[in-house]
Amino acid sequence: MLKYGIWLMVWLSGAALADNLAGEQVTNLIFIANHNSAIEPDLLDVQAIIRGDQSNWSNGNPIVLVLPGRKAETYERLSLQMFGESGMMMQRRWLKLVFSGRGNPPRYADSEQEIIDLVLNTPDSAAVIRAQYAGKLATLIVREI
Amino acid sequence: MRLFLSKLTLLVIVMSLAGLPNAYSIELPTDNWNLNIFSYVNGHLAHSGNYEPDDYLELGESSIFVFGRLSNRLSILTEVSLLPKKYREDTVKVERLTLRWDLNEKHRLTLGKMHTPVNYWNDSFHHGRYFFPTIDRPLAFQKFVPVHEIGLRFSGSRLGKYNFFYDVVIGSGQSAGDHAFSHGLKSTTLAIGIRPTENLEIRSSLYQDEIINRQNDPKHRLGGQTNGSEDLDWQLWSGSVYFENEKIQFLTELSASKSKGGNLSYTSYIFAGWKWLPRLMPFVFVDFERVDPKETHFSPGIQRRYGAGIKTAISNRTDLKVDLSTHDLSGDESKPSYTALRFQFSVGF
Repeated sequence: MLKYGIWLMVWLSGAALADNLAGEQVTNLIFIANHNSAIEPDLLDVQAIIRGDQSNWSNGNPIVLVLPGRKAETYERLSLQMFGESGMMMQRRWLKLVFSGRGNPPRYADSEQEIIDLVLNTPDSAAVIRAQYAGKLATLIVREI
Repeated sequence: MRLFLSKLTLLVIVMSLAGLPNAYSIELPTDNWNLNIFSYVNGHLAHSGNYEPDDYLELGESSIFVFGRLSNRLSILTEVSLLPKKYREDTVKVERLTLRWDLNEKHRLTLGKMHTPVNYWNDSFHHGRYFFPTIDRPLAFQKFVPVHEIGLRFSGSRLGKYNFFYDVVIGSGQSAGDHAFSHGLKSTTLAIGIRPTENLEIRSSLYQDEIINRQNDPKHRLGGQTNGSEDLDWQLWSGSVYFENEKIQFLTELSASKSKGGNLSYTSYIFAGWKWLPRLMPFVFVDFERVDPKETHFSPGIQRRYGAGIKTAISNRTDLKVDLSTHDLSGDESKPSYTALRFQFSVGF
């Protein structure tokens, strides 16, 4: 039994070393939303929306959160800055949230451009992207994080 | 009622499958329908005497989970578990089937078969071993915790400075099973809690039920102390503390149960995990249950479980937990204590 245990521990440790976020850079991110209600961007609880604690807008409509998929540029950066963990763990966290019935299923997009397009075309949607795109999004609610 | 629930759930699953234009993956949920599948395998190596087989590998239940948005305010959620006849009498079970109406930003109404919000575990992990912090549910689930309830749930969250939340459930009670309201409204759950920071949740609940004809209740111990058809009032208090940040995951579940005329019985479960690496979390857990010798509804005795293990995320969709744990079932002389090396391989996508 001990032999099996040691073998498993060694194998698990190797698998777990596959990714380490120590070298990830922190970058400026902005929160964007396609929501019609008159709302001051500063009053938005961005952290609660991204973490799934808030799943409806103030008018009761569900928030359609667009999260970066594995290929998206901000996949690791968003999860590190908002959750302090890897992109994979962010996806798991959201899977748990949806499974518990507390959160609306998010949509995943594989690039920042795809995220922006989805938000522009989806009422009541929201996302986080890099700050360099802020100037192109006049029709959306934009807030620095 | 059970047949109706199964048919309705099957319909929802078929509708959601039909609504999937592309092959489903975790990154590409469709607009209004979301489908997830969870499953697991358990392994066990032990020198355990007569109680557990020394070594075994068993298939766990698979859960099909569907979330559908019917309108801006109305959504449907189903969870169906599947298990071969070899492991369980009912191969298909409807674990959850609810309609949720979002009243506004902070309050909602839920109707159907749901998990009771008595503690953090039951309200968060449901049947998804993929999310369980340890291989087993806490011991409290073997006796005290009323996992399911058919009824009406009124909920609110993010209230005030400390993010107060509440749940009120009026339900059919445990004796009704899937036969909704066969004895009328029998159970009441009141759960309250706060999330003072984004990392911390503290909750407490009180559950009250009436067991109908308790001698026929499967959880009633053999040779109960009173006459056959007696109904029995019982209450369950539960308290949970959950903390998780980028380094630590911690969960404690406490519960105390009291049947009418009986003494207090209680359980405590404590889990602590350290996120050593992004994918790797060593953990320890202690689980204790004491059912009072004079208890007339649940089997009396003392059980302990404790151990240490490692949880690792092998990939986006697979998870492996390994633990070395001791199981001490001193309430039953035919089940001696033993130590086992166990693993659980789970998938979720």
